[in-house]
Amino acid sequence: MSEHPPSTDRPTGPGGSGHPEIDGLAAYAAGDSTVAEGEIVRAHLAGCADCAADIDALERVSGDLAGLSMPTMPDDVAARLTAKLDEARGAASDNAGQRTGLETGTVLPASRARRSGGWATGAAAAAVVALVAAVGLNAITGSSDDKASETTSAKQAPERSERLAVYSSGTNYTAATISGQVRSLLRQPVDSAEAATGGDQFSAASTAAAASSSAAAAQADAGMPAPAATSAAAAAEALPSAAQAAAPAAGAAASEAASSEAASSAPASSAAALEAAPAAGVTAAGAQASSSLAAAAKSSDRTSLSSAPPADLANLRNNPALLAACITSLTDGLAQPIAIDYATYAKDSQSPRQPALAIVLPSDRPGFNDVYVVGGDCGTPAAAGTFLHFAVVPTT
Amino acid sequence: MLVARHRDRAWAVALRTLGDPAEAEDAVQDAFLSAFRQAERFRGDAKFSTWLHRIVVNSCLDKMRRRRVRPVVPYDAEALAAIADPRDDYAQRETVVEVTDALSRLSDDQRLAIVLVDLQGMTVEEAAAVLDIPVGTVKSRCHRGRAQLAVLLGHLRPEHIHRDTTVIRGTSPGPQASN
Repeated sequence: MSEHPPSTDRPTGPGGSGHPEIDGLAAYAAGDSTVAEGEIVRAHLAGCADCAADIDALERVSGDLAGLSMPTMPDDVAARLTAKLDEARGAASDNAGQRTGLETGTVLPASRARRSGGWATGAAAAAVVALVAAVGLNAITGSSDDKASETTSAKQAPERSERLAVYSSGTNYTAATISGQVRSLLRQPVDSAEAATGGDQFSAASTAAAASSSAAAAQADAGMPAPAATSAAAAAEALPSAAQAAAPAAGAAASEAASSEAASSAPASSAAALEAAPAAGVTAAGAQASSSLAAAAKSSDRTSLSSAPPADLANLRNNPALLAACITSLTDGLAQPIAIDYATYAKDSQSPRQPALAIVLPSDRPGFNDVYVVGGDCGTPAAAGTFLHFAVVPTT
Repeated sequence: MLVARHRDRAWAVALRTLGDPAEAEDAVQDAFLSAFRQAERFRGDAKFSTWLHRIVVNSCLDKMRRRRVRPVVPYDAEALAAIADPRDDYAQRETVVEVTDALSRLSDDQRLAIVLVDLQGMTVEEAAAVLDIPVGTVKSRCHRGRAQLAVLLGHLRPEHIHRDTTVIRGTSPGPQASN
């Protein structure tokens, strides 16, 4: 302390007792000073070369720190981490009937470049996510030209495509009910549906879908891309009063039936409701489904529904890349979804509903699925890794 | 659910915090396995990255606590080589070595704050959420840590950090962190 004493011949702060604390200078340099503190420091610095030099020193430190590049995990470390996690996953998946082939080391050559080496399973799974997006959405929108690469990768590795059911169940997920709701969702028939035959533009995708997954969707209404997941016949039987989306790969006819079913049995707004939450079928009770449908219609902006899904989810529905980014932001391709459901979410029964996408993936725990409920902004950088709700639900 | 998107970030945090690749690897493995087991404890309304970072940080703190019972080992050459990015040129690598060595001499708390804010680019609010401490404490640790680094890196004369003449208190209102 003696080397840097306050002295009368050096300018001091207004308190007259000497220099700012170094912490105070650091705060000032970091822009963290209060206005009053900042004024004092600024005034002091104007007349104190020592402290001005200290500020320079602190700024050099910031520069030094900023100059450190972020180390990336070395390949061997990554490989050992992968092995550890696969081991843990393998232990979990031995008992989990629902698990899909994440554990395998199968590599999609086309997707290898997506990552640096040593993360083959991630790359493969990421490619499947892209495939899933292509199958689930591109097929619907019919705008396939720019998705040729995805469908190509689907062609190259049809054996890697996994079952993905795309639903628009109209379910209103809540924290308290999600467990049963997801189990109901997954009980919807997915095997009986025919492969989508809507057009050449996604023949590669539908081939892949038919080969192993049967993910697909149909247009529930003219110009309105609505991934549907059920069969119209099942819908009519189970829920005569509500439209029912069909199992993956429901044909156009099925969707039309579902659509007209809704229109004929519900108020005029039900067509809009169908678009907002096209169909109800996965909730166990028809009445519940109907009410959630009505609520969805009520709580949604009707003008936005007249020709398109709710804006929030429209982006995810219509942009396969965004959906892929969304899923990747949650899983980084480490697991691939079993099912996705365009639906709504409310924190509890008192809270307002909001459009939400439920994403179901195999859990790391045997006999469980992970469910992410995400908002329509999922996939955007700002929302990366965020979601509305996360739950681990038993598969049975 | 494990998120490997965070793999490199977790690695960076662990390596910069622990300074030792072997320990960092252990810490990251522990953290990710722990994230597996805790997945169902994580419920919405938070950033997954924040949650995962907290697990990584706790894993690092655990390592550091264990380390305290044995003598502190300075970074070895291999460790420093691993920390320096091969893309850096020689002069840069020198700086990297100096800075990482200086970092290792900070208190654990200061180093964690600096790693999260200055190296990982988190906001102080994010870092506060990860470290589960008040924002003012994060700021205070960062300020003190940077001042300490300025001395360790030779930018600042040591006596400047111990000035006895106080006009301005540290940073934000509220209790200051003890380090």
